Order: sequence, then structure tokens, then C-alpha cells
Amino acid sequence: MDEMKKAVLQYVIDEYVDEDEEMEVDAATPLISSGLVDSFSMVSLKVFLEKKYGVKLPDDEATPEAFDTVDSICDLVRKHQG
Amino acid sequence: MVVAVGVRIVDAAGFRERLSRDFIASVFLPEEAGYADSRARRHESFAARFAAKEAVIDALGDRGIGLNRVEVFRNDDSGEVGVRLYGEAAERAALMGVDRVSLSMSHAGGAALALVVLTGSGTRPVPQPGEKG
Repeated sequence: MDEMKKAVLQYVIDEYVDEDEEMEVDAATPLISSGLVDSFSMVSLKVFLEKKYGVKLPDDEATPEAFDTVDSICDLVRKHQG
Repeated sequence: MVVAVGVRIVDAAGFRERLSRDFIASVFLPEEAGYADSRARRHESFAARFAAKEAVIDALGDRGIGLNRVEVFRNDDSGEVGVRLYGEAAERAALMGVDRVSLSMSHAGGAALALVVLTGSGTRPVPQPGEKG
């Protein structure tokens, strides 16, 4: 797994998965559609990504579909990296 | 006529722990943030406004519209709350034939709720997200 995926996955686990919850989250786990990440959390995640990777993610691309997995999130971030 | 409705409920208690300056700058316009920050229970005020923005975007039927394209304001004289739309939100509302956005907000028991009703002539067919109509 590449460094970006590791970092984003770790952020998701740290922020959104309860410590006592026995849930395995990987790069393909549905985040939004499963209810693990709510709308507030999605915005927080977008803010984190923009700061960490120095990108601006357009609102019309930062959709629940684009944020539904770590894989799709990383694809979106890479698309907007220089 | 009623063109569309939207409703959102948000965990206001969660907002207390999770609001950051970057989040606020990303979602709320300066006047909105200034008003919410001035309130004694600022997290409830932010939560209710966040719910309102989401409810409006839900009603507009296009999740690609940015939250900062919807502004919640309070009329200083009457105390009533209102909504202003900008950019893509305003464009989509126009396509839908919306003349007015009515908003009601409330919070209790750690939750913030917002209900919006979009009214207007609604004479155009509602476009699919991304369509220009």
C-alpha cells in the first residue's frame, strides 16, 4: 500500500472508528455509504486532505461517491496534485 | 408551489468537540461564523447552520454543490432566519424555478435540526445533477 493510502486509512481509523468497535477498515471499505463517515466527517476529511497534500478539491468532485473509499479518495487527491 | 423540501438532523454535541478553524473557514461564510461564534452555545449554532446548508443542498438535489454556496443569515430586526444562495446553488435553484427558500431550525437534546422548503413556479423540469437544464 502506498504512503498516501496508508496515511488516509490511518486518519480514517483514528478519527471515525471507535476503539472498542471490532471493525476492519481497508482501502476498499465503504465509508460514506456504510455510515461510518457522516457529512460533518466528510468535510473534516476534505479539510485534512487539502492541508496535508496541498491540494484544492473542487466541491463538485468532493462528492459522497468520491469519498466513499480510501482508494477513491486517493484517486481524487492525486488527480489534483501538481 | 412547493418545489422541493429538505431536512437534516446533526449531532450538535459532536460539533463541540470537532469544530476547527479550518473546518469553519471551509464551510461557513464570515458573517455566519461571526454570528455563531458570538452565541453562548456556539456549537449548537454552528450545528444548526450546518444542518440548514445540508438540507438546502439535499432539496436542490445536487450533492456536488459546496456548503459555502448556501448562507444562513438572521434578520437583525425581526430575528427571522433566511437563506441566500450563491454560485452553483443559485443556478440550480433558478433551473428548478425556485423563488424562495424557507428555513426553520431547532436544537434540543444534543441534536440540531433544519427543515427547508423551496417554493416557486417550478415550471422547468428538475434537472439531474450536473445538467445545466
